[in-house]
Amino acid sequence: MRVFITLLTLYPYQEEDLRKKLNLEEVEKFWEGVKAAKSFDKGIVFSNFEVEEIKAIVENFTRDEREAYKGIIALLRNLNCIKVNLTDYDLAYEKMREKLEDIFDAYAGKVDLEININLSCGHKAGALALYIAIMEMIYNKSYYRYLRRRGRPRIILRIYHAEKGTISPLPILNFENGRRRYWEKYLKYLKKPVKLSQLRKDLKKDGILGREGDKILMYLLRCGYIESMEDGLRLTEKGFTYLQLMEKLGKN
Amino acid sequence: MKLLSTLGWAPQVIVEVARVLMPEENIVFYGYVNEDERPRIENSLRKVREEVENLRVVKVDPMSFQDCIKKIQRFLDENCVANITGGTKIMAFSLALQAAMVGIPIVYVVTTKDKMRIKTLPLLLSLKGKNFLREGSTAHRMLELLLTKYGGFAKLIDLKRDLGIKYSTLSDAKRKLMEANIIQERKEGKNKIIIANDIAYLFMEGEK
Repeated sequence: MRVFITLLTLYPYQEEDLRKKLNLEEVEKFWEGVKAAKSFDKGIVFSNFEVEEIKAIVENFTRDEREAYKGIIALLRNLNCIKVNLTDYDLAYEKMREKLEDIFDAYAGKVDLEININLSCGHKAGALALYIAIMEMIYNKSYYRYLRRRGRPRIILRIYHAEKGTISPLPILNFENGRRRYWEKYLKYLKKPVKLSQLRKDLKKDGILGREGDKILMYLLRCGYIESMEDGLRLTEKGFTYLQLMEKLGKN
Repeated sequence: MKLLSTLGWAPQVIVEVARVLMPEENIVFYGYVNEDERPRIENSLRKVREEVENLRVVKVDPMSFQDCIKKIQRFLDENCVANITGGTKIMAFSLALQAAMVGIPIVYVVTTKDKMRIKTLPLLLSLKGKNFLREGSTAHRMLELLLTKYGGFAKLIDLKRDLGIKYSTLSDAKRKLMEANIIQERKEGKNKIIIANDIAYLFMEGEK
């Protein structure tokens, strides 16, 4: 099974020159991404707009833009086009992850699965969300073993940025979405160095008891936000920066 | 705090994050894809210069992972926050992936109805499991040699000789690097040539 996944957007700006430039570039990158995937059995497009919306919006654009999107609209009718907010990482991530789970559940480990992912289109937050979603599928759901080129069934994953004739591959590494944890907020208890017993008392005030507290502590240590000292724990430079960031964003 | 930002056509997304976070130092990476884009980027840079203090600007090739990664690496440390809102995707990905590897926070600006919100991006390199590219591993040594001694292009046999390891050990490391999209292999006559992908420079220590 060969699957092609891409992002796609449309710039509806008022300023014609800018809009036209961006839209023509988007179309060019889309086709470069398709070309890099060669052939595929299943195509998935994550876009800010439904096919019909794209069709309606480009009607009011210049002839060049209409012509450019015409080919894409024709192709989109045969692909699975999913509307996603590509400028919001969290929203995009949830939908993309869900769709990828469907694909992996259906094919991974059952037949050879080749996935080509084009990250050159759409918006940055959406592109990063798609990248992290696929990395999480591979590593957190133990599909990594199928990436081995010997043995079958296997997964071949190609994830790339295609633009101006250059295809730049992205690494397949165990990156993950850390949104499941909000444990960094407990760094506030370490503004000054504290004894472990004091930290446990502080966590207890937040309703965190026993093993949960140990887990948080281990997480903060492994992330390098805190370090042990003779008589307790203190923030590292990284932890201090993170705490500063959270405080400043909180005030915003 | 040191704020690293990638700049594109919209200076506001740099100015806003700098205003809210008030870092001691602002490093802005900028570059234009072609001459047509140059005036827009220069205009954007001028506005950033007018409104952001403690500023240092660094020109990058916005279409090259290698160039972006190498230049960003020089400034990256545990005191940094990365703002990936502006610039090309290659610039933003170069900054985001390096930030995730070092474990520093990543932020981006979402604009809705002229209102800007700064959001954090929860991207990190997993803390679980073994990392085949940990410092000192065969894969890391092989990659380091390929990039530093051979400029990203070497015969497999030369790498084997320099590393002084068995072919099976080298082959295992090569397979892992290929599966991770970090290198590729090409045959030239009887020789196997190993070529580093641009993204391989993520795993190199930058020149500070």
